[in-house]
Amino acid sequence: MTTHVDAKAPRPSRLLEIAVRVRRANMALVLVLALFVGLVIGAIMIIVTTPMLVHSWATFFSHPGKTISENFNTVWFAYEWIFQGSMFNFHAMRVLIDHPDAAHLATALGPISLTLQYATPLIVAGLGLAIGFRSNIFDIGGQGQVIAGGVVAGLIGFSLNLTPILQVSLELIGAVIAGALLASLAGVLKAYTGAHEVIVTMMSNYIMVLLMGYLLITNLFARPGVKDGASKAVTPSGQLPYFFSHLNSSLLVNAGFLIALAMVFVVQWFFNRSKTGFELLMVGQNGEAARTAGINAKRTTIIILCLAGGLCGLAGMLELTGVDHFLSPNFGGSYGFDAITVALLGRNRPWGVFFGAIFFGAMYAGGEAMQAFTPSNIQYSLAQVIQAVVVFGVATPALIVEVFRLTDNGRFRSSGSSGGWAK
Amino acid sequence: MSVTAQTVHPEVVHPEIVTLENLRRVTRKRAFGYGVTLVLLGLLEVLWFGGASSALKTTIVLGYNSSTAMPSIASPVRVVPLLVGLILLAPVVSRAARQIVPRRIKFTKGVRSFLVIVGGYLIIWPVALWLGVNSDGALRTLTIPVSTTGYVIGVLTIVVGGLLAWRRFDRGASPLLYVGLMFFLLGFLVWVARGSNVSGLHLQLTGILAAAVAAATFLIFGSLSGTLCERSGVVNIAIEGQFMIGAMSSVMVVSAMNGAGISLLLGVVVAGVLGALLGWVLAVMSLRYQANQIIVGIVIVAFCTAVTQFIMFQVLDTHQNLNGAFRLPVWSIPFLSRIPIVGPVVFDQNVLVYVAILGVIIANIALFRTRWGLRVRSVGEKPIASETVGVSVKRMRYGAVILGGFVAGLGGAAFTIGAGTNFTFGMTNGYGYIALAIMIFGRWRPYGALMASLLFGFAIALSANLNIYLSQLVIPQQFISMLPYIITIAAVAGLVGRIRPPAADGIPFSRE
Repeated sequence: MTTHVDAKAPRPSRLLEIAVRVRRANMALVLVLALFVGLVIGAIMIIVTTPMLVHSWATFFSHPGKTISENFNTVWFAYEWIFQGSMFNFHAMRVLIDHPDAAHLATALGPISLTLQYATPLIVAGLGLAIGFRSNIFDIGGQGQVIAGGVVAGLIGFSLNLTPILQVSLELIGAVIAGALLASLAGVLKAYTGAHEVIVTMMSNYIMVLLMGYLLITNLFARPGVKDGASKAVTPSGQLPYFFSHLNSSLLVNAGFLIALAMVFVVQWFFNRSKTGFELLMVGQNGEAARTAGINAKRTTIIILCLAGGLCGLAGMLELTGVDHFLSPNFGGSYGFDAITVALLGRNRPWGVFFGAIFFGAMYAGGEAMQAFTPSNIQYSLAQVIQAVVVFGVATPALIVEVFRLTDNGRFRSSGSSGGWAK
Repeated sequence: MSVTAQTVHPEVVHPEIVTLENLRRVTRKRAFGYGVTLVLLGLLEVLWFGGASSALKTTIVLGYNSSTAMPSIASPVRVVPLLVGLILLAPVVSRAARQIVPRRIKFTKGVRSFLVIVGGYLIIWPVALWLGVNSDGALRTLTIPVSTTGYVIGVLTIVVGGLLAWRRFDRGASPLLYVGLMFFLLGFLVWVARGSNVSGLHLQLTGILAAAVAAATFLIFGSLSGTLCERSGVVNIAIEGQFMIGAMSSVMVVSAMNGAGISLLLGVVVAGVLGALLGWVLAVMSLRYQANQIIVGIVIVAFCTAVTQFIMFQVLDTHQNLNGAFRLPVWSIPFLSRIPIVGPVVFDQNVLVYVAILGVIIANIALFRTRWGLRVRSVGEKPIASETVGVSVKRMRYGAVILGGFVAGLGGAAFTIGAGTNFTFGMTNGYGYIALAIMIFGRWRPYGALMASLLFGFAIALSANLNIYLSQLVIPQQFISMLPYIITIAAVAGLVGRIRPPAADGIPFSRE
């Protein structure tokens, strides 16, 4: 970014130039400010919901310093644990510095590995939904597709006992097909009847949750003698291997992360180099032009939803075979919905989704640590509140630009048409 | 604008030229198809009950369960509400009457409405008189064998379907279709219940219908909210979030004040105001910053989910006294609640149900009979034209979206204090999205939203009640619970392509 300095005009002071530059909006600045707003809102929520802190405001006028320090310390402590739980545990680092060896290094890297483990399915599912969003197809059926992938992967995983590479490949293919089939239902309905994919995919989420609930009580899936609805466990040959687990059992990175990383490159290639990817982008940016250029809108819609669903199914398979190893009634959790926000956070770019998912994974891991270690057990959902606010800021950068009085030359006043229902 | 480009594009639009005549022809053809389908379904129902010999009985509540004695028949307390109700219903009934009465007989609108009111009064009064003569305040019920119920419902389905196929209505088709579908679902319920032989179990027909109306309440609010927003050209996907916040805030307000009389009103108002606040956020994002409305809606829902989850587990789990089960008062409308079947189902409900029904009537008048409504609709169809004649697009859209948010917030209150339960995380169950489907099903019209909500409410009540009778049945409970969601997909897939949303729906407007 270069600034135009008129030769005749007196050169502005260096300081002013920096100030102008800093105020110029770019995505990184918007992201940082959105995170700041999120942390402030999170702080307010902590203060409002902790009785001790609410009471401390009663003495605000007599002991303002005490009130402020009490509030600040509590909030700081909570955020510190989000950091420690997701990135570096201070204590473990200190031990590592005193005794530098492999085992202690593994302990110190434990929180990061937890972050990556949580991030893995989100990367893949987020990529899938990002494909849809870039083409103006709003697949919000991530949850259902993750479940579909997980159920099929689980079925293959615990009923077969082949060589690991074969079984994992089978699981992968099965999960992708399951997710794609479920999503293609929405695609076909949209293409041939005009049913809006938001409603169809949303409904398919609820249907899949119920369907899984039913499957888990059938003899095919249910673990004999267990009444809590857990399924049989995936055979060891069907599980994704953990890396470095010989060093320390708290290192949780598994092969799924590599698959996720590979998918980032694949999607990147897909959008930048492949013909279909180009067509999808074209449909998303200007449907009229795409149609005029002879791109089959119906076919494209179905392809997009199949790709999105396939990736979500893959996410379900990674979660099941890499982490859970068996299905339970709340399998998939909020991955499907968080993938939507991850895709928005990454502004639908493959690497953006990658880092967005890692941010979300860090918030999960850190949120759990916060809930475990803060005195008032601040619930991990606080991390989700912060996430939502950050996504809000990133999805509508114009808001952040205006609130913080940044200059943007209208770059972030994006006009997005959601296109109504019957297109 | 892409809209104009689309309408001239031959492959995109339905090839038929859209004229009123063509539209009517298509609608009639479709009405015939629907009618024949209903007749077949009805026949199927009747045949199913052929060899049925079940000990199960159906209970139909005729009177109403009142602890206080009713005032005498002639007293104004009973006559006036009936008249008011009939006057409010007159436009609906007279429209239906126009379809049924052959076209040769012509009335002016006023005469027809008058006849409907007087005729309705003359019919309803003797029935109510008969039921009310020896009213001792006891629950009056009618108990008949379940197979008879099945036959009656099957025959009614055939009659409605036949009427639909025979007359091929162009405008009155949807109410008849709704009624027919409802009869079919009722028949399905009876068929399921027939298989159960739990001793002493009765099929509580009126109870299920009343539950359907209660379940329809939040759907009415939600779809009404969607209708208001989308008529002005803003897609409101955040209804689910407004439901959540409304449900939680109303219960917290009421519980904090220990359920005192005024707190119930306050709880409803707070739910509405918070919903309006979320609507305002949506409006600012989509109108001021012109963001993609679907994305903003999804993010609002994500935010509401996180906030309700956090408050639920952080505050409400440790302070149970903030999450009590309080119920809005049940008002039995005098006289009207005495009408057999309809009385206990519709006129013996909590206050929010009446607010919802009144809201539909008011919204219909406001949208189609006032200057404000004309402006809202014009802003949603062709904003540039409205702007040219001096109507501020932004202001109209702000108003409609905030009002829509308020209505959706009230719908949230219906989940908790309307149903008399406390708040649990995730209790809205995707009904916000179902409300959007209902809005589409009801063709962006308040009355359509009301009818479709009743149908969906019925499906929800059915899926909630069926498991009582499921002891012997082959269909697993999970599949029954899927019913509302599957119906939603079927409804959206079966209708959307053929109906027209507001032209500027979801498209941001800027003056440049």
